[in-house]
Amino acid sequence: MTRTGRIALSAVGLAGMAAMLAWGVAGLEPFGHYPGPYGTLLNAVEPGERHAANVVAAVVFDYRGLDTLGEELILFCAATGLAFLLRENREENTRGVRDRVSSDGLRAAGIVAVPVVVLLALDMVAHGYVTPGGGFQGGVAAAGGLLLVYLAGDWRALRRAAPLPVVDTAEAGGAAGFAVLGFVTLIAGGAFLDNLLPFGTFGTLTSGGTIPVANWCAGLEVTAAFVLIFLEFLEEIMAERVRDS
Amino acid sequence: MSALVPIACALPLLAAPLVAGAGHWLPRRGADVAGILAAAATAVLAAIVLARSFGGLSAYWFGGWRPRDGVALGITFAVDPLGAGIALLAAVLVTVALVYSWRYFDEVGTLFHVLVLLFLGGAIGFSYSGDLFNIFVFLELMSVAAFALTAFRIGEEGPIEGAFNFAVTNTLGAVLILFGIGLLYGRTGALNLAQIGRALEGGNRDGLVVVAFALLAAGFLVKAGAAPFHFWLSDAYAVAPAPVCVLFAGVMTEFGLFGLTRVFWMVFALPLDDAFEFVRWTLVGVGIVTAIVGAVMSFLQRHVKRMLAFSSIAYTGIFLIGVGMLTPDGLAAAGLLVLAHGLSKGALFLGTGVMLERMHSVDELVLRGRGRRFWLSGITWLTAAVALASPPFVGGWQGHEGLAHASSSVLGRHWTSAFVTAVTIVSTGAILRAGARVFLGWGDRQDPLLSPEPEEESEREPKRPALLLALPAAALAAAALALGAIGTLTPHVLRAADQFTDTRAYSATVLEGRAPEATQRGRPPTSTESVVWSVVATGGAAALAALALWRRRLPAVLRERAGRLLVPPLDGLRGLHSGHVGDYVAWLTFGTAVLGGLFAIGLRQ
Amino acid sequence: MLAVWLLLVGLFGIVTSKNLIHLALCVTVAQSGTYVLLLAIGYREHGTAPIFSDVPRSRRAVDPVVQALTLTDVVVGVTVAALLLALAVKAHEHTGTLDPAELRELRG
Repeated sequence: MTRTGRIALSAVGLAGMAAMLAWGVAGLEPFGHYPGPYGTLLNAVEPGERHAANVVAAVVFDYRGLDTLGEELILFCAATGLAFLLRENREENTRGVRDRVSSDGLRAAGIVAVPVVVLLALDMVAHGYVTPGGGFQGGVAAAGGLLLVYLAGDWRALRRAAPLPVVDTAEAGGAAGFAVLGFVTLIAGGAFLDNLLPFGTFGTLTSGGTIPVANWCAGLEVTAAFVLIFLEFLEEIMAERVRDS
Repeated sequence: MSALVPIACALPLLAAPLVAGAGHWLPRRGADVAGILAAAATAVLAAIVLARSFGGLSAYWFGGWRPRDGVALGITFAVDPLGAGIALLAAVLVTVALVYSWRYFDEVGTLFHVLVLLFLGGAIGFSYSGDLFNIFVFLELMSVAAFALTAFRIGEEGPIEGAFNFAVTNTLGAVLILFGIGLLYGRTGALNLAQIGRALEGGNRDGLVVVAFALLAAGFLVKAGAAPFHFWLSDAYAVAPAPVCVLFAGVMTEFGLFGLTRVFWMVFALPLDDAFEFVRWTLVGVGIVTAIVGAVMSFLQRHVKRMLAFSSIAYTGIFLIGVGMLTPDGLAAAGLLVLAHGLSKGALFLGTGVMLERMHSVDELVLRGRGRRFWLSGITWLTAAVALASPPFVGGWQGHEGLAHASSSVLGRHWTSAFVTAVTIVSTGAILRAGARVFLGWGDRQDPLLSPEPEEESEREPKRPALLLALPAAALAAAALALGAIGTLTPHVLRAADQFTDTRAYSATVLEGRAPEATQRGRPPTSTESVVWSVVATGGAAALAALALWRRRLPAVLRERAGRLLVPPLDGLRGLHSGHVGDYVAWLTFGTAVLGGLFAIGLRQ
Repeated sequence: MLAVWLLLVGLFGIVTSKNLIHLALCVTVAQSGTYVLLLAIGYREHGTAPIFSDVPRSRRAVDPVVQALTLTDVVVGVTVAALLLALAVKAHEHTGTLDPAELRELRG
């Protein structure tokens, strides 16, 4: 199709969709008046049942734990697929590529920033079910912190800090860990992904039963997956430099 | 039964990261073996689950969260025979594909197996799940694994383009589904299928419900490869490795239809109770268009995998006619056809694997005569094609018969049978034509009617044993052929369909734990009319194939006239399939808008 | 309605795109439309976050479920975007172009 034809066709389609979606959305409750039973019920019962202050985390890791398992695996799948796509045919050895930040001030800032960010991220993961945060959020932040090693430092430093086999294994471990958790609870007599550990005191780190376990698995996997993605894309760039030189 | 259900889904999901993690230390064969074992074990579990599901629907609640006062707190797997059946089909096809791939992908370590196992886990979760968002998650898992698998031969340009088009269109389909889920959640505050269905039943059928249905339908139809959402399919199937195509053709597109059917019956059937006729004709209409596009395009291909892809689209159209009838009989017929098609198409795609590996091309004209040595593959090809054509008591026969029978009460038996026969003739004729040209060397050397396609050459790798390539395909083809003769198949599938379409019983079991009643179904008598149609289909396919092969021998005047009549529309149709993702998405928006518009007109209360 | 707009803009961007990377980002935009929809549905007037560590449990909170759903979706969306971008990189590597109109291997 010519570009004009395409635009014309989609203009008709988009106009139709706009009308359709507007009509559909009009049937929703006005903004601010959430009606449904699901959320209200969970907000009411969860603190009593699981003692985890962050209800969202409880939903993610307990009530709807299966969704999270699926989605961890999606992340694993995509990161693995991406690693495969980019690693294939990459013959260049990027080990020797020098890509160093030359400004000392920046490097100094990095030396301070990296541990701060990583610790903050770990804290987010650890307290995920008590305060805002959680495995996913903290995981992304931790990955960001590691990326800072490259941004404020040196390509080789990043490769040393996060060697590929370690990252691969960590990613697989996080994903497998979540699945294993489900099997363990099944074997222990409950349902798959049941919450069988003691629930502890409300609002503390020991609350939530198996929620912290799932939380950490997710955090590990997300960190590893994002680091893997960063690494692979960076390798591509480095490989191109080797090619060009 | 209860514990087996989550295990069947979770086993491949656990095996995948384990294989990945151990991949650095496992020997190459170890990964192959681990993958096949995991898939085979899953297949066994799926078979047991299927057998027990006939005793009645049972609901498994994850995390032990049982519903309270009809409000579901957790996620459930509500396994009915139909869902268990396609889960089993998926597991079997995955196992066969992994056996076929033994030592196929030498360079990539364990990645293939990991992705395939994740695909399987997603497929099983999808078919078992009773929670709308959970279905979405598993659908995405299947899709992402599929995207990565499509791009497997990343060294060439074709796979990149195919995978890109695939990923963009299917992700957009998922976006439509998610939007629909959002609307439904906004109205009912629930994600459990049974609960949503109940909540909608009482309320009014306003724009929100209609639009949600349109969005969900459009999204699932993208996955199923129905027109005008089908463009991605031919691209993806053409470039994905053969064993991956087996999974796509036998499992993935069918799951799109399954999702549509599941969501319709569990959520929308009761609110749309008085509008069945309209929905029926809309869905059947889409099916008709899809079948025509698929069949015609398949005949115009010389790239064998692309031909098979379009043939699958044609069959999606036929399945959609069955499903779209909105009766248990129609659904059962579609189910039987899905089974026969999955096995036959699987065998055919594995046959293309042989073509690529041993004959070094998948272009029908280039391959002319090269297949003469490979008599087992040739016989397999013929067997699979015959199973698709479905002569009496062979292959998809029960499905075709069931379709005719089902259509007599709601659509009009004669034209339905005639149409389906015509579609079968054209698409199976293409397959027979290709088989004859490749394996027997028949037919003209050139054929200007067929679309030129980029070269797809395989590397001259060390050869794998021929038996390994040919046997899995032969097994699938034999199974497909035998299907038509299994007398107890139809009653079982009919019972499964009955259960599937009983919305009220489903929600009672899921939300209140009430045990369902079993239904009884006998086998409908064989009618002479069906026999006649199926003989016509088989004979017609052979005749059409012959016509295509030896066209030159016809008088020139006849050919010229036919050419002037047929070539312009055919070229037009061909031109639409441009490979450009922007075109595909334009059609996607158009199709969604049309669907929404139709539903707005017909379903408004 | 913002959600609808995002979705439509994303779709239009894909149709008219001349660059695979731009295209991948448009997919992300379209996906964001759905997230906005979900979160908007769950909002409660005067509701606070559903985290009760420092507010009394009786306090009205917004819906935690949509937040969990959005969390899940964002992950899915990001991963798909990453895959699309990787494919775009490979396409450039092979053909030297990022224009979808130039990638015309699969036709007819």
